[in-house]
Amino acid sequence: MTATTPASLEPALLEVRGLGVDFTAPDGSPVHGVRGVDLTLRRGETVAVVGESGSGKSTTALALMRMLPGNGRIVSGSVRLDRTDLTTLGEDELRTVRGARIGMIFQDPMTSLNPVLTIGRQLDEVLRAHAREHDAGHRDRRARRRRAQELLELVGIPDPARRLDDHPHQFSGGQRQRILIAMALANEPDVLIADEPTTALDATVQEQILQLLAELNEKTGTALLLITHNLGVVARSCDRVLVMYGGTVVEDGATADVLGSPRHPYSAGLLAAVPRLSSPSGTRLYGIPGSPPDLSLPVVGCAFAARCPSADAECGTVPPPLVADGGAADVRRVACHHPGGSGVTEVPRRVPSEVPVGAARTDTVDGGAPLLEATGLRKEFGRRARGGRRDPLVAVDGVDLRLDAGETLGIVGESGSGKSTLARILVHAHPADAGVLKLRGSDVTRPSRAALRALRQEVQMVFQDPYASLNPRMTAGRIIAEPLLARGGFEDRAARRRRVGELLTQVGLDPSAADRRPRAFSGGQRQRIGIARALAPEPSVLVCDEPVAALDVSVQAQIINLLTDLQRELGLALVFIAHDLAVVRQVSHRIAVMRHGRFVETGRADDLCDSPREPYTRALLAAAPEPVRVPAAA
Amino acid sequence: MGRYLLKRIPSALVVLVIASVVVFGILRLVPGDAATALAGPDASEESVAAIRRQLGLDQALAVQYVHWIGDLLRGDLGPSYAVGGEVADLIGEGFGATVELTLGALLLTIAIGLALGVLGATSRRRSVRGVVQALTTGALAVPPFVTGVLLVLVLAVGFAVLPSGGRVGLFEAPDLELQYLLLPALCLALPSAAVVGRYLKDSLQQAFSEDYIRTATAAGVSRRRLLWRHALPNALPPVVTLIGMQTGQLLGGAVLVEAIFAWPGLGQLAETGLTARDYPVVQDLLLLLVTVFVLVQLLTDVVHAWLDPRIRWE
Repeated sequence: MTATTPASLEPALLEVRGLGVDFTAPDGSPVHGVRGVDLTLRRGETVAVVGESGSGKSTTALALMRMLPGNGRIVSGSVRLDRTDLTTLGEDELRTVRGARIGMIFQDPMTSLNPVLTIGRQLDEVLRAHAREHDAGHRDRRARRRRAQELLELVGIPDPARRLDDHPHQFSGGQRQRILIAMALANEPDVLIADEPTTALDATVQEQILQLLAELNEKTGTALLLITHNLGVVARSCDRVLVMYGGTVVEDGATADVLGSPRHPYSAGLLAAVPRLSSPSGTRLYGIPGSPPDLSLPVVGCAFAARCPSADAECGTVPPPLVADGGAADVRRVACHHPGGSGVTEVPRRVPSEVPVGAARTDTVDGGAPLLEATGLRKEFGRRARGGRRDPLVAVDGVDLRLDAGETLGIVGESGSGKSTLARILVHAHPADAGVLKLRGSDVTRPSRAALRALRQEVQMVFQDPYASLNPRMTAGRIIAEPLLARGGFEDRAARRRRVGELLTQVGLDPSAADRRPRAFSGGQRQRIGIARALAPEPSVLVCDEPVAALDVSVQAQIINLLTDLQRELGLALVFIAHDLAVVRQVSHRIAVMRHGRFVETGRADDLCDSPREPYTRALLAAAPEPVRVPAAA
Repeated sequence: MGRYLLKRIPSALVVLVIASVVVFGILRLVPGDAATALAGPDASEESVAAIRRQLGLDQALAVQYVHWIGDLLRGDLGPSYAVGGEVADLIGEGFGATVELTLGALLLTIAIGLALGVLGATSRRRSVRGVVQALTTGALAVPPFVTGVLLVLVLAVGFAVLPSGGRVGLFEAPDLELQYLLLPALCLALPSAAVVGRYLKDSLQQAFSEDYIRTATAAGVSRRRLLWRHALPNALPPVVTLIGMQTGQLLGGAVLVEAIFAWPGLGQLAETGLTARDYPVVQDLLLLLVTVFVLVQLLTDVVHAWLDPRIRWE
């Protein structure tokens, strides 16, 4: 790089050049997880690395710490921290960098703390690990305990002196992430790498953690490298952003520039695919067509070419270098043959659905009996308090709801609000303890064995995790045929195969997919299989529990649009459960906000989002991060 | 912890009651009763009936059971039918030796199991991991009577470094006793050590793949501390349960090993008692073994809860 560095900018603290990481697949073939990544981090700076699963962002983070899993190795490039190249250090020297000069926070706070050690012990371990070379004062156990207490106070854990002796399971998810941040900061590192630090947390907690990270960045001057898939998080907390796709950096620039006017078609598409809370109900989501590249195959040309609206012959053969795009190289770089070219600007525009379903529906169906109706649903789980007294956990506490054919009811709530328990009651996975559940006017609260069989066909479920909810040993065809067999009428193999083919086509997959096993499909495709399975018994109600939570942003739109299309075609009633209010608003006609097992507010989707009545709804709305801070005239 | 233990006691008592019924019943199901065995092959019907009456065996089974348990609760084990002498004395003689052998084997099981498990899970050399795998497979595949004979041949006959059998008593000559104990204890321990080693290896490997190990690695914790302070405390609880169950195996296996090494434990008593249909001896012996096993399980649960704070809270 020959471009001159502006004098105002400090020299790089962490400088990654041409980093390449290969993994060995189980069959021995190489997978190029990261290809030629350049990254610069200066003292006190906050930089985001954005990308979807498989983009190489987490691999890059792990490679910086030389913590790649056993089948991964750095094959090219350098990682310089000040003047030291970390890629050439030995195990012992690396240990003096890890935790001391570079701290790291991981995604899942529930599993990232050692369950059998007290918090005090775990903080002590971190301080002790660097007592020799870092801070001689930490050789004394009591000094370490004092420091541990300070750290807990710093990250906002109340009553730190006492809580040092508690175990991880005695803390909430948000508190655990705070403790992990405290551990990462214990030895005052120069760099803090946070890999999806808020992904596993509720929106309101996510907000607190981001604020904490920003404060600490200001207070301690630690540079922050934030790895995330969430553009809203980036907009909120980072100076600069790198967008990664297919293992390489495709765009790099100031956050406001990249999010405000993306130059790479992928950045633009990603930005367009993020559901926005400000978009009214019924807005059709934008999804990038196709799926991410298979990195076990050699990438010829631009990795995004196959999904790009403005790709031409050059894109398919010549890999575009990451070069300055107007102005100084430090300011903005993009790896595209046609940066900001035609096609890109048209992509992000939204296509409103032709029928504004939201308004029309509620008026027309109000008169007739609802398809599904629940009054006073209640479910509690046995639990004992410390003294052995019965202290039941009330998961669902007096929920009333009604659902008409062709309508979507969105249910939003944070983890533990009882939304999944409610879903399980609705699909008769377990009976309600109290209340009445009616389907087409007849009481189905406690159905007989025979009635239950019929009921389960009427009400089907789409699950959250498309990776765990499909049996890996069955072919897609068998998975979808399973409910057909249970239902009867499809004893003939050929008829069954025909029906499976129809269902696959209906969810946008090729009928030939029937012979492949789940492993051969991407996350989005697996969720399509899950939907086909749910549609097989021809249900009238589909309960979707976080159907897109495990999917990438560019893919979630495809699934959501598929669900709304199917609803229109088949007249399905949908219960759409999610934590993401923006998604829920766009797919739902009505929304119910759930908290502590109750519906705190119910209303038409747009009314509820535009003029919420309850303070809790307002808090939820405020906590949802928008990718661009003020999209004044969008 | 105290309350945790208290909660476990009722179920332990239930197990003991059921075990006593089963022990009592099974002996009655064995063909031939004590009276026929005592009277000898040529005895007349009348003399057998007389003996039966004398021993109270003509009473209803329920009555016999109540008598047995009632006496037991008063601490009266009564006289043996055939072996001769008081049951309490007979059991007392062999109990110490069997407990010594079992405890010795238990210590070896833990030591060898721990070493094999840690080596198998953490060694960076493929050859070391291969040897561990081979050792555990071998120890599991070969039954104690074969290892027993092999050990005697090599260490007692071939090199003559250890005695081939017998016992001198731990309190009479501790150093000598350890020499006598080593071979039978090792022979008894090997299969259990292999099971514990394998299980610990898997459990450790599982622990090493967990997120909290990644957290500690990223914090710069050394490899050795990762193993002993972070991974092992998580890998141990299930292994402790397994060791508790293996203790039962060791108690049962001791009977066989005692025969190979002429170890004067309860094994011999059990054998003679059983062939003579000596109900009091066998019943009390079996119930004693069950009681020891139940106590070991209780102890296991307590250790488990001590190792894993989440259990205490349930």
